[in-house]
Amino acid sequence: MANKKVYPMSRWEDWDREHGTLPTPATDYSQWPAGYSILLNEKIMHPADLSLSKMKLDRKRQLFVDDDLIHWGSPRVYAYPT
Amino acid sequence: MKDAQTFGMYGIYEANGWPYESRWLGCLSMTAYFPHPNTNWITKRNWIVLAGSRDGHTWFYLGDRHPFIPNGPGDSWDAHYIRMGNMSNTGAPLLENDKLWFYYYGNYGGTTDFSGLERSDKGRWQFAGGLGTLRRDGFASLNASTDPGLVITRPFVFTGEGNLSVNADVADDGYIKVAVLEEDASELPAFEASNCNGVSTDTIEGGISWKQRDNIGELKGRYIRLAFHLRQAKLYSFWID
Repeated sequence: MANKKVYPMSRWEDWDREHGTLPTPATDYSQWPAGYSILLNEKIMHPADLSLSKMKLDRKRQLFVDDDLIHWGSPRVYAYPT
Repeated sequence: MKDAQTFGMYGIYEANGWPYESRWLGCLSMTAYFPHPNTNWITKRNWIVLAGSRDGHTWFYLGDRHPFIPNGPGDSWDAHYIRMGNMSNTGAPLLENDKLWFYYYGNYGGTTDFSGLERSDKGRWQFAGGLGTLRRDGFASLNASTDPGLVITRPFVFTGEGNLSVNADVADDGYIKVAVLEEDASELPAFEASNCNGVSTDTIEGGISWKQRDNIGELKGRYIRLAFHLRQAKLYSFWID
């Protein structure tokens, strides 16, 4: 009779017994509020204002998914697949 | 998914990037792990957000990190886990009849014990394929209602022959007209918005011309701006070929 494949059924407590308790895998933003406030702020991380910079366009379609092309613009609305 | 961020096990699970027209886009599969109530298991969620890049090196989340393809509701087949299909082209959509087709796969049942076994109250994970469709270039639009809107580009030179087209959805009482501007934003004679034969319908490829000019070919090599005047319209893209 062929051996049936047996899947291991260990749960966290089994793993803990063998390897010790895992540290909590959460990011605690309160430990470094000043730093995280910078890292999570895209405007601070990428401050260059490109609205006055010149560019060269090829023949391909130019999208409006961000402000890269735009000096002044109407409100942007994102769409999603349906 | 702010709750997921609160729990902390949150981040990019899979990053795909693909060239789309003049830029890079990507569908990121995001992940979050939640402690599962009353057990030591965790409940896992994966969903898709859109990202973009100009150079392929520096990437930004698009759409304020809102799900591009969200998990389905309740006990639907894709309620817990979604990743992109089409891995032969790194998750890029297919263009079919002026629609973008996004294939993805997902499941119900994102509860996992640490051994790697994946279970749910419906049994083993049951994967299925999904298809989402989007208008060509339809990732984002610049919109105007009955209050006219204005979009002015950065100054640019173009490599095409000067035939300007737009992809736009214009309501019956709306329009998109275009003025060509000098680098200092002054209107160029013969290319004013008042002389523009604009677009007044829903079109994937609507040509723009002016009463005295069919195209902007004579401006090749000069830095210009385009000023799009919108009313009751959604502007998805433009190009100069």
